[in-house]
Amino acid sequence: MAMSDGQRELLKGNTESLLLSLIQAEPMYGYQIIKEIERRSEGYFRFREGTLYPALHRLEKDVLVEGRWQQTPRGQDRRYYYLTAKGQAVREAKMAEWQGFSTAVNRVISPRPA
Amino acid sequence: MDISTYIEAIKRQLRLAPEVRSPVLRELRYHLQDRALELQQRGRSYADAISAAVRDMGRPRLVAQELYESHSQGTWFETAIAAGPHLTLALLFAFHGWQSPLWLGLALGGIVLLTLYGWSRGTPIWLYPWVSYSILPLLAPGVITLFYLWQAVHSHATGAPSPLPAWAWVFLLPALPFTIWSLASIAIRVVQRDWIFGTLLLLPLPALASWLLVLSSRGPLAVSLNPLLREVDGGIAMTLLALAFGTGCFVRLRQRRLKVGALLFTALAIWLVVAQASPQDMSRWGLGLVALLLLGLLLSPALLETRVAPRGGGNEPEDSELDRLMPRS
Repeated sequence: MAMSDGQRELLKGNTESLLLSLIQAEPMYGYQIIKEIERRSEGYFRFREGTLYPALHRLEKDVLVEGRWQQTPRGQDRRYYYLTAKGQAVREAKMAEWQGFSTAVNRVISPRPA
Repeated sequence: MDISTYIEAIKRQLRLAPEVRSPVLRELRYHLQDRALELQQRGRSYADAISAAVRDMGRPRLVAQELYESHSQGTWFETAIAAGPHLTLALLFAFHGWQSPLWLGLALGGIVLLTLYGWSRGTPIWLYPWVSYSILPLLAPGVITLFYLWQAVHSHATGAPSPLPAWAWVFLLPALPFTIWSLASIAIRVVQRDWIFGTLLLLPLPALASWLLVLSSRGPLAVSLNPLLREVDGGIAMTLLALAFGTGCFVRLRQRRLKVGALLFTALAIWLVVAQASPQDMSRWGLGLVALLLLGLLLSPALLETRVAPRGGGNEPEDSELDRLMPRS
């Protein structure tokens, strides 16, 4: 299913938060991240695959994640991304920001009790 | 398009150091293999799975551009170091420190030492401006020859006596091919990585040559270099500040076209400062020559790149893993 422009914009604005949250749960490699985002969002988010690696490498350059080559359980070499201490702090700040924002939006758009 | 052709297309357009580019390409290749395998397991044919995986990744030019931009920005620390040699020399000229052999020696010695350190660390982005000044001793014989050639042409045009006796040219002229060879060897090595680093490295050279022309138009250098330099050292400091600013922008900007824009803007700023300081009788020939020098050295690395093969193909793996996982039948 193709993403609408609105969904694409939402994903673009929150790529960093999504990636940091996924990697925080467990270290993952690129393809695994794409599958996991799709699975957890029940197909709502679908990354354009070519944009994932630039986003991951930007996070790595900012020392929010760290990439390490290691073997998968099936013995294949893959580059796993780990969350750094700085990445953890940024993730927590972004989560707090998102919670405040979504609560405020929900309050505004919810129908007022009669 | 198969996976190898796709990776090769990205490799051609991804202008990063081989040690950075190689793991990036390897990561992309494995991603494509995983995707193709998944599609094949869902019932797609081998060829269909490969072309769908490649299509999902996006156009190679776009992917290469985004990957480049995620790696191309230097840190503020790297920016400060890259602008360092220009700023050091700008201070030296702004406060007349060039008159003190001690300060001059410290500045030039420091530049050479940091260049050697940077070279031993695998040519980081901040190194190129330092190399510009470190290669000056190598280029000096050629620059002196060019300078006397310019003076000879000037003397011929004005009817003044030749600046050198005829026998002196026998010793001077061979220096020119040596300088061109040295400069070309260094430029080729840098251009094999990326021509814009070649332009960044060469940019101070026409600036220095331009000031030599300005000085020679103001009076005889051999007898009155110090007083002449004192007249224009503020302008030289301005040129070096423009170089420092342009270099800083170059390192910090992510987009390639903006980096090229920063270099062009710096060349224009240098030309304006030199034009402001040049005496009236130099304006027609001299400023044209300065513009040619700037333009020539700005563009020559780009032209050179089309002639030299890129360095270090990296060790991106072939499709062995793909062949193992996905039988073609």
